[in-house]
Amino acid sequence: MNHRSKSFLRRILLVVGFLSFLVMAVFYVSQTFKENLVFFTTPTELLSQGIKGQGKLEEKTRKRLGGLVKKGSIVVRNAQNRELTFVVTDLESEISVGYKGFLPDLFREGQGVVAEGTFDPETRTFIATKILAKHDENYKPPEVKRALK
Amino acid sequence: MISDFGYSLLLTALVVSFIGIIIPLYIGARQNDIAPRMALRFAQINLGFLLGVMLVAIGLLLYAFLISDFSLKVVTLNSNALEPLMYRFVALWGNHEGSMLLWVLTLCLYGFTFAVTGRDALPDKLKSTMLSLFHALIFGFILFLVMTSNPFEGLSQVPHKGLGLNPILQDASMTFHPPSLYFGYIGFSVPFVMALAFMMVGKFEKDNIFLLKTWTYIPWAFLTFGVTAGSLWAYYELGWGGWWAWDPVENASLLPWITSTAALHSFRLYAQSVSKGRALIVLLMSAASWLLSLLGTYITRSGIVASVHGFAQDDQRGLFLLVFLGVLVILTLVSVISFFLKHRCKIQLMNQGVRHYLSKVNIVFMVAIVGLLILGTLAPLMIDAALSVDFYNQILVPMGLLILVAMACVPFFKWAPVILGKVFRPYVFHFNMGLLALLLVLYQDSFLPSWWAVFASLGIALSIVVLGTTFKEWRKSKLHVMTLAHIGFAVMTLGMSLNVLYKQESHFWIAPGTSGFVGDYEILLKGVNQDENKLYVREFASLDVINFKGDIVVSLFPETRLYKTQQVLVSKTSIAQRYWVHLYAILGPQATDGKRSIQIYYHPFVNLIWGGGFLMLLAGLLSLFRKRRSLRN
Repeated sequence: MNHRSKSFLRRILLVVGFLSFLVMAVFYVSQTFKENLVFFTTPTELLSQGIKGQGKLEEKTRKRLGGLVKKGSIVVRNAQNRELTFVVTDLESEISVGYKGFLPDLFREGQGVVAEGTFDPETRTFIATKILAKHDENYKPPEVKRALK
Repeated sequence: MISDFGYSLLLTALVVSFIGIIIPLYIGARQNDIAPRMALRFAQINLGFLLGVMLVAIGLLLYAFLISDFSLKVVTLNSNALEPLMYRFVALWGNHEGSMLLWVLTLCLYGFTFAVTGRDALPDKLKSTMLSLFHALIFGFILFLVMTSNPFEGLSQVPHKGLGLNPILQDASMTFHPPSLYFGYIGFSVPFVMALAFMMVGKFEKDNIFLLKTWTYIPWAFLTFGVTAGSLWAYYELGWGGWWAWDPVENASLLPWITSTAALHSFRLYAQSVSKGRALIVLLMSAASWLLSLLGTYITRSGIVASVHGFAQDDQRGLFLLVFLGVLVILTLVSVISFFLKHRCKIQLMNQGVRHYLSKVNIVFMVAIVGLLILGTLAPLMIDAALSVDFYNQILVPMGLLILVAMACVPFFKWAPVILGKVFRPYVFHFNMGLLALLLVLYQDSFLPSWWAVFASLGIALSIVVLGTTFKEWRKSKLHVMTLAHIGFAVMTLGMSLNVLYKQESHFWIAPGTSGFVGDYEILLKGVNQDENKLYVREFASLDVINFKGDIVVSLFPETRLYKTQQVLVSKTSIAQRYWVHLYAILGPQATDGKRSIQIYYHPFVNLIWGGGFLMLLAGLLSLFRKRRSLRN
């Protein structure tokens, strides 16, 4: 075992170590990326999918539902727990949304809204875990604009 | 009238900038002694003239905004004669076309300043080549203005009143926030042009680093200020109770900030031991900041990304910027490859101090962060989806913690090989302080901590260690730019971690006359009133904050405004400072039973975040007053 092969071995180890670290990092990043990806949808799309793919993958994946908050539909179910329901509409279909938690500052009747959560095809309600406020050139989020098209 | 004159100014500038690309190259190519100097003089004068034309153009547009000349489209769409003077003034850059005009003016300003300063620091021929390249950048942007975003576009029928400025931009910070960001982004054009020219001629001397350093520190300081001010603006104006959302526009401003920070670190790495490989890192980082500034412009201006700031625009503009960016990226790659082939840069594993490795790993780390940010911002677009913020929180926050670990070790990881046990000993105390802080914080949250709370606790502990070791370094010798910048960064991360861990949020649905609780305070809703002025109808709540003794500590008045012309709802937060805590109130919607939604945030130590940013800005300024040739700052 001369000096040269020893340093060669060290080099190999270094490269292997680096590569395995890289593979792990890429795996972790892609996993996190997949977990946090949410797709846009509209009430109409959601309802048609809900009927087609009943009980399938649809109900599990997180979605972002865009539309307008229907006038007169904000109902506080439980003030203590901050539970409320409201209806999101794209002027074609309507979906009732249940939510518990904080509201963005511009959450109002008749204004655009984006709700992140999952759809329950049984009860036909959308269970939101997050409500997003977005400002945009025409003061409507692109998701909302797409929903209203 | 203004429309025609303005447009002809733009066309003039377009021609002049094109001349500026060609002539210096043409004169410089001649074989006689005075040719390089003549080429340089021509480029300088040309840039001066261009700057003059752009100054007249922007003065003209400003005049149109101030007198509310609605024959111009941008004025009609973004201004209203009823608005106060300040908002008619900031409307100049509160819209796409006007802000791109400001962009070109800033570019000319940087170009001219670069052209006439630093006498004889560079050979005449090289400098005239750089200025020629600079003219090409200016030409590209003026072409962009003329083709896709003419600010002087007229209206055939002159309306009586304008639509007014986007209400969320109607804020005092608009006077300095966009210009400071622009002075940051655009300033990276100078290091870009220098790096490209150095790579093309294949020569880079040790002396050149000082010039590159000065021209990186200036935009870096402006960008630091711009990003910090942007975060502050989002905090109190957008009213969602946070200071950073990993929003595409925010990410876009962070990208060049990170690469320019990496460039600043690479300068020290290079100065420690000169090699062509390290020169390549320096040049690559210097060029990258400008390319990423352009990528940021593409992201924000093309409207491809849904964003809270959203200056969303049309596809044509995006396409132009994408092509322009593509050309520059290819140009950069070609220069990099030619420099690489010329010098055959090798990776050497020599017996050097730990600091050399730490420095290199640090730069690789920053590049990785930039890559992840680009991935997170752009990749979801391809598949019509969005990425929730947890992606960034789960990946970039741990990376940030590792950076803090490295930062804590900087004072004793030396450039020369040392025995670690020996140099580490004086700092054992500071690390123990951090450990103590960590134990204290974790003890307080004795319930099962979430990964998020663990990150925040580690952030607090590590920031304390960094502050400790860095202050010790400061006491040993004079205040260096790096020391101050690192202190600023640690103050910022300390503020962020403390805020994440100890902030409280409360949301009540309450009727007037009743109250809710947040922290140790009782919040009493006295009533909700309405009034109006010529611009908007306002609804505002009167809240009393009452402490445990029953005394009224402070009153908060969150409001919502419905702007009349724009028909847009905007909420104005109300923030009160109590010692190190912000009490932050938002007025929400009304439920069908008449109860009102009130949200109160209890934000401890948020000021440290912006204070830290301010310290980093000071560090950038300090660098300008330090001796140019000193390697240490």
